[in-house]
Amino acid sequence: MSKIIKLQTSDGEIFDVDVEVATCSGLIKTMLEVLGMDESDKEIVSLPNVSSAILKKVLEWTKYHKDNAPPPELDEPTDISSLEICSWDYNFLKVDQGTLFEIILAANYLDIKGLLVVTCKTVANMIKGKSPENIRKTFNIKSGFTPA
Amino acid sequence: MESPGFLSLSDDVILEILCYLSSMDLLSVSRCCRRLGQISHDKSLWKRAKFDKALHAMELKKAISFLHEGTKSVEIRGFKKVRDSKKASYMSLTASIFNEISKYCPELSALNLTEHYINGKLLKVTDWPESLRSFTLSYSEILFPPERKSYFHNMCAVLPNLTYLSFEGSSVDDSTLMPVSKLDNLKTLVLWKCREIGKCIAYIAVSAFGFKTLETLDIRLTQFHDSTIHALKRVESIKNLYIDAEYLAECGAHESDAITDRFLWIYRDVPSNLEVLHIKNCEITDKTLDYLPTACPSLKELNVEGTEITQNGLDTLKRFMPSCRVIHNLSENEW
Repeated sequence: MSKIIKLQTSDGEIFDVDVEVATCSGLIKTMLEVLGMDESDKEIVSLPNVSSAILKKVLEWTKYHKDNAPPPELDEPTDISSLEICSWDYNFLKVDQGTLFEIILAANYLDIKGLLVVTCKTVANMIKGKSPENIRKTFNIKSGFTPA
Repeated sequence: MESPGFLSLSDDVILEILCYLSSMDLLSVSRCCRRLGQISHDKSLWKRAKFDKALHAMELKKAISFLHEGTKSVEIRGFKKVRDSKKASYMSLTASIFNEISKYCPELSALNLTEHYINGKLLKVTDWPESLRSFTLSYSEILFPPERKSYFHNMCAVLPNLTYLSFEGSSVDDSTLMPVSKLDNLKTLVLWKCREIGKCIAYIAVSAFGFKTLETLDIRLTQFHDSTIHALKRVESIKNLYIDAEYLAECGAHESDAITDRFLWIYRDVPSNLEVLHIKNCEITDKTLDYLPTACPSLKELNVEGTEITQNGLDTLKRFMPSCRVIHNLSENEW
């Protein structure tokens, strides 16, 4: 039977996650390597930057891609890249903007490169071909001085 | 908890998003707010710039300010197709724009100008960025060229490193070939759809003394015909020759100005170095195939679509040149 790791989200919920799924995250992989695998089943890895709703989404994505279509090996990032994403990802990311950005933040924090790429492409698709005014409208950006 | 917005992402993540956008989209993003203005200037986003919507001089100047010393290639589209007006305001390319380009990206290696009216008085060949290795001027027209000499006169001194030159679809004529032939390192010359090119045997014969390094010549859909192709005989370095005579009939060329079996006679005495030969839509018959093994012993690819060549001829050729790939449009049951 595969090993299980416990992940605790910002709102206190604890998830039992297959180690193979959890280690799609570069952050958890490094943590486990530092901690050593044997002790990991007793310890709870705390993820203070991720809510349980978002972790559920992230786990759904990693599980799907582990079992079905592994995200293509990423070459060196190129500046002229295709904006295409697979249909499963497209449907998976039909969420409100807030959720989308939270998934991006989580993917970045957990260091899940494939999820970061596909979410960033989704946002890029929302920008493509729009005028500055429409981009501001889309993301509710105030023009002029914005606090950094 | 308030859900995060676009600007709550870190600069790194926003950069990750911006790297999937085109240069034109980046220009829009840069104008959204100050922070996005700063991030969209990141050098990693501007290694290749493609301004594929026509920009007025002021907008173009702004756009060029995003370029930097790591920018290797720049593409700029003009107004020729948007609005076929020769008014000065639609001629966005000026000497000062080119100065800016040279200033921001001193190592620019590829420049692609498409659909421009170039005012020969406002932009001279001497204004072009010296570092260029690849230059494309497509679907464009040069207005007010200097009197009694080609607009491109002396370009070999200005662009010494040029290896690739394309005039695809532009209105340039045979006089252009003279300065072009003097480019010391030119390997590829694309004259595809240059409909004024290929008529004047005098210009072509003289330019054939140059072209010392030319390997690839694309004269598809031009007015090149048997005699003017013969004039190129001297250019022995050519390995890839692309011909498509479809335009010859269309443009009302003289009946004798065709591309026929005589065309390969140029190589009767001295075999060519040709490896790729396309002779689409030429009045060429199986006779040419008889010549081919001696005229082009190194041939690897032959395209005979739209010619009068028969399956029989191809079968014979196959025996003499078994390794040559032949592209044709004869259907299996045609013979």
